[in-house]
Amino acid sequence: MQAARQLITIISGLLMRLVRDGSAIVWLIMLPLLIIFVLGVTVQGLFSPDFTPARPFRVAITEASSDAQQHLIRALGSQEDFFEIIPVSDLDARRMVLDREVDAAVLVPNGYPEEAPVVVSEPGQAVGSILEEFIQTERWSIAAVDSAVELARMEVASEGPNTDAGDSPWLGLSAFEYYAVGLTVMFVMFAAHHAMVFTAGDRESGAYARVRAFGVKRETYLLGGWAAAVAIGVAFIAVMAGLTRLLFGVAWGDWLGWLVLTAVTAAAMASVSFLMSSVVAKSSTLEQLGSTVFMIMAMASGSSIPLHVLPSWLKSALAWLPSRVALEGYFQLSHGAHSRNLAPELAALGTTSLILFTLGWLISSVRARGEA
Amino acid sequence: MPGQRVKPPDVQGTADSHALQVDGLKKRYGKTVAVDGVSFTVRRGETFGLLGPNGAGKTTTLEIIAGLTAPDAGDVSVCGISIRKATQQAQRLLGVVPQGLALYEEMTASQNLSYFARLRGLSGAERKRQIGEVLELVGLSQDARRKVAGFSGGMKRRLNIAIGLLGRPQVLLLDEPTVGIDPQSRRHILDSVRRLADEGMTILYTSHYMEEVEYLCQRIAIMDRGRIIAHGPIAEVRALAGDSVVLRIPAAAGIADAPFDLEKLRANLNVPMEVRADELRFRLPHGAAQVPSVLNTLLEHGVRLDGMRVDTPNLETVFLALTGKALRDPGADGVAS
Repeated sequence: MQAARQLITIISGLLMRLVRDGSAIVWLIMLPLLIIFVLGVTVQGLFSPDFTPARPFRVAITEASSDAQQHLIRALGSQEDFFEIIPVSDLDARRMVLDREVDAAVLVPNGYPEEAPVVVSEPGQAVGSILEEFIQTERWSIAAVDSAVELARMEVASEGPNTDAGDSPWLGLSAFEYYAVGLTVMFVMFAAHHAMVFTAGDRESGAYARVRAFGVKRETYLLGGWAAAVAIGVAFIAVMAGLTRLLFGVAWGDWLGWLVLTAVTAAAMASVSFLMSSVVAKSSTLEQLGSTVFMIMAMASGSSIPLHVLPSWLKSALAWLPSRVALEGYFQLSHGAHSRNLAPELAALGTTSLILFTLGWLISSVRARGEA
Repeated sequence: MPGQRVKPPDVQGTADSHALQVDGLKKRYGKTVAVDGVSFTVRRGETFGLLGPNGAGKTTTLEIIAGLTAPDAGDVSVCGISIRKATQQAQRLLGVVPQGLALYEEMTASQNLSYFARLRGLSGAERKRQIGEVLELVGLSQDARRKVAGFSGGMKRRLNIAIGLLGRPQVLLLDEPTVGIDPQSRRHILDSVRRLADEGMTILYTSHYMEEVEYLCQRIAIMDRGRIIAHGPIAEVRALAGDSVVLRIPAAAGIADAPFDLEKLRANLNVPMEVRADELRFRLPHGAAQVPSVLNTLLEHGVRLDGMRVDTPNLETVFLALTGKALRDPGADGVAS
């Protein structure tokens, strides 16, 4: 009972310290809102269905024999504002991209449409993502025509919430919707990290020793720090969801799904921070390490750089990052998914959280040898 | 002291006259022996001084007593309760004032106190009452609602002490509570500690300021390199220096610019010499009778005598006599030799 009261006191104490730290509030709330506004306004065109490039992208596409392949070439060719189609051989297509004779190449396999075409473009070029999106839509439409059952499924899906956003749930969102989620997931890492930096500072100032001298067990203090990081994370996401809804009209989807996803996201981010704090004792070093790791995670997971601009291989390679999993979960909610549709994301974030927390706990225990 | 008093509660079932019994403590960090067989007792209501230079092992000893660090050997009993066997029970009888400023700068003074009071298990009216008492004791009642970040160093030190008094501990552990503060705040802290002692609180006071320990404590232990090298009432410990006095010769222009050869002087003296930035100090083991011969030697070596002072035995003399080195960090005052 006493330990539970002490745990609550530690959590509320850390929350109060953050709330009373004016600079932290400005940094955690005002900065992401400002960035969302700036990016929402400036790159809105990239996310808009009305977007057309300044000139059509030059796209080399392999010559095809089957009806389906020719259908795809015709469909791409019909988008004159977007694509200028140049039929070539397989080898020429790759070479032309390398020599920058074209902006991208599409290698259509014989097994198309069951087998996905390969899009070749320079990393970071929007044309690659636009082509992938277009081709995916074409494959869905072929599948729908070929199969009445599939067509029925697609119709049901189009009438109800679009929970089947496929592998690219970020598609179809506005820049404000995208960055509201992206920046929130990015900054929740910093918010949760604040609690762990506070606890590291307590060890330096002697506050930790004093807390322990008041009869608080080491385990209670550790758990309190982590739980405070989770609480700060949840509170931060809630504030950001409210403010972005109010200021930019961003819809965060099903509230129950949002609540569960927010809880596991905050737990996962707190656990990343908890693990770092178990390895790095000095508060200033911990703060710098957190900033570096979270900036990299944010960029690699699509919080700051839109996912449809990232090269496909990078998107696949970094799909395991907790920030990326959280991002996709929120995007699915934006598309109308419910909590039951988020099972893979919730499981992944929950498992990540458990593993990182356990690791951090073990390392902290080893480092605390000699403490009473 | 005006208003309510911070009085320690009675502890049931502890007829033992010792509030604190430290028995054979040992603590090693790797190859470094921090505490090496430290034993002493502190009686109920006594103010006991633990004296020693930086790195002597005082803080480690205090951490073990407070139940923060596990000793390799030995035990501490607080009012008869073993800190090793019943850590939390013993901790409830202790108030700890660490050397660092263990405060939350973002919070106000009363929020800091409230936080620690909750951890102590105080609630409701009792918490408010005790917070009011300790704020008054340390003279911060008017500043209770101010953020600690805006406090002076002395005010922070006073708040640091106030937190240690929450829960009305039987034994108060004070670790160098006056480090780095202005004379006025130092005086305030010393007066507060004295008041607590007058009210019957048992206090273990560590410092490397001899004058503080001599002002506050009845008995002391002197530590060096993890061991207790002297222990007992102040008068008895002081007597360990025998007839020793310290002769102090000021050098207004500074020792570094003095026109005499220090090494030659040292070689021709038959008493230990300590060189400080602005004075020379000589420990005279046979008392003031040795002063004329030392002065003659100094004159022979061309030392200009602008004045002199003879200090009678004090704890610093004792420490010098027992270890052959100064108690305070020489870097703070000058160059020791």
